[in-house]
Amino acid sequence: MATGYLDNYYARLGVPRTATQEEIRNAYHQAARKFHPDTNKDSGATEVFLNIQEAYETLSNPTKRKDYDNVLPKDVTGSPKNTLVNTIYSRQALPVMDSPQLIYVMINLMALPPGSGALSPTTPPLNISLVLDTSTSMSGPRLNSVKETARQIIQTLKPEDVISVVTFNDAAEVIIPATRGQNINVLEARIGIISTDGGTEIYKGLEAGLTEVMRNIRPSYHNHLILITDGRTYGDEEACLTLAEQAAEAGITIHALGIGDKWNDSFLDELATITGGGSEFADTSRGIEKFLKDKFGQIQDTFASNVTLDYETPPGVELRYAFRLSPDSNSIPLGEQIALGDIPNKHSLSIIMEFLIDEMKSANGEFPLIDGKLNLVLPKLLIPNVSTRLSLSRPTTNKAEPEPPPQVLVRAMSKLSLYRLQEMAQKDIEAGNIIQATQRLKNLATQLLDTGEEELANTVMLELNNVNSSKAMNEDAKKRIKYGTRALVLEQDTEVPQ
Amino acid sequence: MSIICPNCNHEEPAGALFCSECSVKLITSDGLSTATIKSADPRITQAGASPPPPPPAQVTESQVSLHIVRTGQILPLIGRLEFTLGRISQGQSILPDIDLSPYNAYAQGVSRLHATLKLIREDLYVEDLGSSNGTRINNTKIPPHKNQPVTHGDVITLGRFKIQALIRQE
Repeated sequence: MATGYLDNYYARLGVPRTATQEEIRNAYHQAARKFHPDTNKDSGATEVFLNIQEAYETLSNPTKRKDYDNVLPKDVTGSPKNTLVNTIYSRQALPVMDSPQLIYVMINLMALPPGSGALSPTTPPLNISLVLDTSTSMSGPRLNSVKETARQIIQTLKPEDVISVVTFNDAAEVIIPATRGQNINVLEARIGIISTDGGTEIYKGLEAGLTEVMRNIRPSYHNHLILITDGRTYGDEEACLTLAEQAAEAGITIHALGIGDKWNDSFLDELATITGGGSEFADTSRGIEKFLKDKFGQIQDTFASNVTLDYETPPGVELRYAFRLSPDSNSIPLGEQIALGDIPNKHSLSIIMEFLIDEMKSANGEFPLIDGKLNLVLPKLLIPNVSTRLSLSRPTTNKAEPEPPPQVLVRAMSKLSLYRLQEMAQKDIEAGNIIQATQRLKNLATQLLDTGEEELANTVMLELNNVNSSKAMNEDAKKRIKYGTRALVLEQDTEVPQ
Repeated sequence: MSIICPNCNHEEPAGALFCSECSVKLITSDGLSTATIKSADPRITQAGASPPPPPPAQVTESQVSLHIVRTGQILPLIGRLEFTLGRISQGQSILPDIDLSPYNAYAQGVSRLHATLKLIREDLYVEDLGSSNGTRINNTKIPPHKNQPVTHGDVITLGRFKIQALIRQE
């Protein structure tokens, strides 16, 4: 029985604990319609549906509901406002074991269908700064497609949206100060004057861009910064990361796009993920266009932003890894507070977590995995900042568990394990363990071939020889492999239309 | 209670779903998960210089092994008395114990749940599970849902997919 602070029957239906029978029935019908396996082919929809069923069976029956309420901790309030929570575990119970064991948890956070809560019907305005690298290497098709796409996006702005454009090379220049989208022609003309010169100093651009977002920052807006660069910044990476931390605190999400092979992917990754955003890679004009349009679309479709988790794990439990599977795929840096990302309106925000448990001495009720607070910003609410307690736990058992893990977790982990293999190979190369790295790359190539990813497998195989001879990876191949394997994680969710 | 990866012998904590070294899906301690066999692709063994990983230590423990004729790979059968053979496809609820999809099994006409290999006392039997394209022993078609004895060296054909049974002689 699910009686946790995040995984409980009320949260699964997205209702408060005080809900009436009618509210419960309505919420069930809406949720069941959304996730019925006949209509929803999303990976994981079946598991979500079964969880919803289980919750409804208990809550719709007043006697069962009363029994359930008696075991549910008093301070569990149900679902966080207008958000549906669904948790899927790799094991139904934790067996007694004197050696370490792993458990995987997938947390799906979804917007409730409209009509089931008091939400403002208006779309929250955008407050976005575009920060563009205009170093010499950007000249030609790269800058042209950035400019062209920026023009197209500006055309779609609503009068209340706020946009700013900052360019940087050796210095930053505010091309368009934070402006509402009222005079589109003037904004477009300003984009036209952007030209290239000099080197890449990301700090200056980032600082100027954040200053522009800060001018209009409020929780009822979508506050984002989009950084596009094709180069490596020297000497100011630490300062950039400090800025990103400040941005995260202020509620600004940074998204980054790297073009070509010269930029530093681990730096851009860190810069973006500590704010709940992510980094991506493009090597064609088409890729640049797709990134910008996708990002704007994603931001406009946000239901809850700046979803963060403050957490503690009990002694003997370690949160080893966290990864966002949807709406985009990015690893999530771990800390006392972790930035999970945004909940979209249509899809779910899905996070997978890996916990390592030292030893399980005896079977003794529920074993806690994590305890903390989940924070969300819902721009459509009158008071947008919402916090809810989150705890995850599993029952303990004396017998070895008979059930296999849910398929949705196995599918997600099968793709994620390829990305992690690549990650470990990179670490090996950095540490000089070339033999180890080539072995991992070889395993990666085998698995990629097995899953039919011929092209990516070929890239990995070509790189094997390179790593053997030069003890390093080609920058371009490194990014193709990293972002290529990461894209596989997402594919399963986007292949099927809603 | 840790899990030893059948492909690369790496040790993983219980509960791991995939090997962190080679990404192969793990048979968990409960023995119920599906094992995906790694194909030894010649294109990969040629690339890179370091030697391939040693064969799994358990090989010697198994009484029966399967020889995948097309690739020359030997697959030891350990841990149980019955193994279903088939392939995994999207949305399938009952999974075979041995997934042949890495071997292009679909194109070779292998059904999702094609046949079961059974070890009854010292003898090996195969039962066709009503597969679409049938099962043959040494090119003779066998009736579905009936145990048929298999001896050392027999070639079992699932659709067009050939495996040879290797039974250790005591």
